[in-house]
Amino acid sequence: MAALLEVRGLCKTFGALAVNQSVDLTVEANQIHALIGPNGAGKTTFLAQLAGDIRPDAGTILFDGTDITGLPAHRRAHLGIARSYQVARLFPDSTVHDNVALAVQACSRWARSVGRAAAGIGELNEPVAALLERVELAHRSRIPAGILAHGERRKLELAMALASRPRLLLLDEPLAGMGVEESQATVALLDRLRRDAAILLVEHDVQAVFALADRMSVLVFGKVLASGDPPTVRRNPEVQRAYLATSGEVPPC
Amino acid sequence: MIPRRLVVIGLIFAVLAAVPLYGADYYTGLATKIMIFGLAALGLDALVGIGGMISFGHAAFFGIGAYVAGLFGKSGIDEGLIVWPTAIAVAALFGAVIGSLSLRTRGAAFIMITLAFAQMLFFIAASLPALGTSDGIGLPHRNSLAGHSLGRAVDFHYVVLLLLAGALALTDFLARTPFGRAVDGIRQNEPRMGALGYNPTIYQLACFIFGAAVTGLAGALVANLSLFAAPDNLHWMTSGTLLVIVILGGVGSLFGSVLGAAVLIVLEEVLAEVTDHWMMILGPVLIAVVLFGGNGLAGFLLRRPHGRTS
Repeated sequence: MAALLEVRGLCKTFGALAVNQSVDLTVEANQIHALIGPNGAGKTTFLAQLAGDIRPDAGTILFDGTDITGLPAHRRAHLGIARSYQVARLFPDSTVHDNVALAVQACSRWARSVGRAAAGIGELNEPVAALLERVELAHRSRIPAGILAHGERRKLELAMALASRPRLLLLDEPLAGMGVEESQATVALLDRLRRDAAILLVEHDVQAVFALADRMSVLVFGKVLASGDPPTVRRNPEVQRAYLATSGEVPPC
Repeated sequence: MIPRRLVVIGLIFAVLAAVPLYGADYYTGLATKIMIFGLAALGLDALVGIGGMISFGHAAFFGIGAYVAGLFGKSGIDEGLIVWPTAIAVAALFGAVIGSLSLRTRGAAFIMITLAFAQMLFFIAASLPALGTSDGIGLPHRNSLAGHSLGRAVDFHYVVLLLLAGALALTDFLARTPFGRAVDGIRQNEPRMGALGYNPTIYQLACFIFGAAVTGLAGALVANLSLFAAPDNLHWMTSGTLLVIVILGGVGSLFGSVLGAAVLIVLEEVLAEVTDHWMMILGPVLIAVVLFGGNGLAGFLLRRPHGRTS
């Protein structure tokens, strides 16, 4: 079976800084693939290239067998790639509900939405409510997104990413800033999401990563140090030296 | 309770409707001019305030509307129901071409390229004999509406009033549709909207064309007011005036364009009688409004006792 996402030889430099050096990575359908690595390893830049916000200098990105390396972000979104951001990028003055509505509406044809009356926005209420229910934010739907707590913003980011019913979710530290309970609930949610979509997960919470990941890759200084199933990667001596040990986490064996 | 915004809009239109009842033709003409420039600035505010596209060449569409009216007048067609929709359509067509080329850029480059297109049209109009070169094109008389003469200042005033109200209501309505919300979202955070699946350029182009069409109608009306289509209508100073009106009125407020036009045109009339250097007084007024008004006159009027505007 062909992989859902196949990245070959992806390179990106900013000036003299090689942020990604010939990165190869595959994500299978309905799997959670964790991408870990120390700060500055190039994880966010890698996600931005997959989403289409940054153009790679070299390499190819295949999504479901199609070369999407040159496609703009919105075309990739329509193919089924959704993204959440490390720093939540919401519309702070709009309500939580309206933020999600904007995401839901993106999936409908734009020409149709031009003619739709203001009352037509009501049609979006049901899918919006369902998404907010899913991330446990339904009780906050009427407040402006700008005053949400940090963990709640991450949930809203997730709801917006899910609005397009994506086949591949690119999640940049979805657990950052969440309390223990919120974090557990989100891990459970991501676990269930596996049925609908593959997830490429950038996350620093090692426990969550090992609980969720079907496969993982370790990115250090822009290079993939190791890739494979979590127990194998965990035992890799290079990985232990380069990442797991320095982060202060001793991997449970 | 009626929203404060609607009360303010209602009052503005009540005042504009009352002018011919109490004033001489001179004042009616002044109020008509305010409404026409307000309408032209409304088209620009749709671009700047909702679409986030700062065009410094919006007079292009004002001039195009005026020249359409001028050319029709020269060939003896004076039915507004033909002239005005044509002005809207031609301005929209130019908007599609200029917009799709300009929207390959953003920010300062966008400002410069819109300016360049408008100046290009200015020099074409000022040098083409068919367009009257620097003399422009005179209209033999005002357009009629469905056969009724609009020769009396009062009749023309009320027609302009209705067109302005209609354009304002339509713009306001569009801003609240899913389409308008998407354009607004792109103004706030373009990469985010792209990641959600919106093609930012298509939405911005649609907004650009709409703004061009509204200002094109205003152009046809200004040619009717002055019975003249002049290269000045296309000049970058007119673009600047429209931007000043939008900023004075309150960027993105839409109805503020009428307020901005009122203040600018009344100040110009009053101050020009006192001194030739009236711009020296206008400048500080403009700075004061921008610094202390929050978001222009609209922001000032809608300000709540404690802080934020709505």
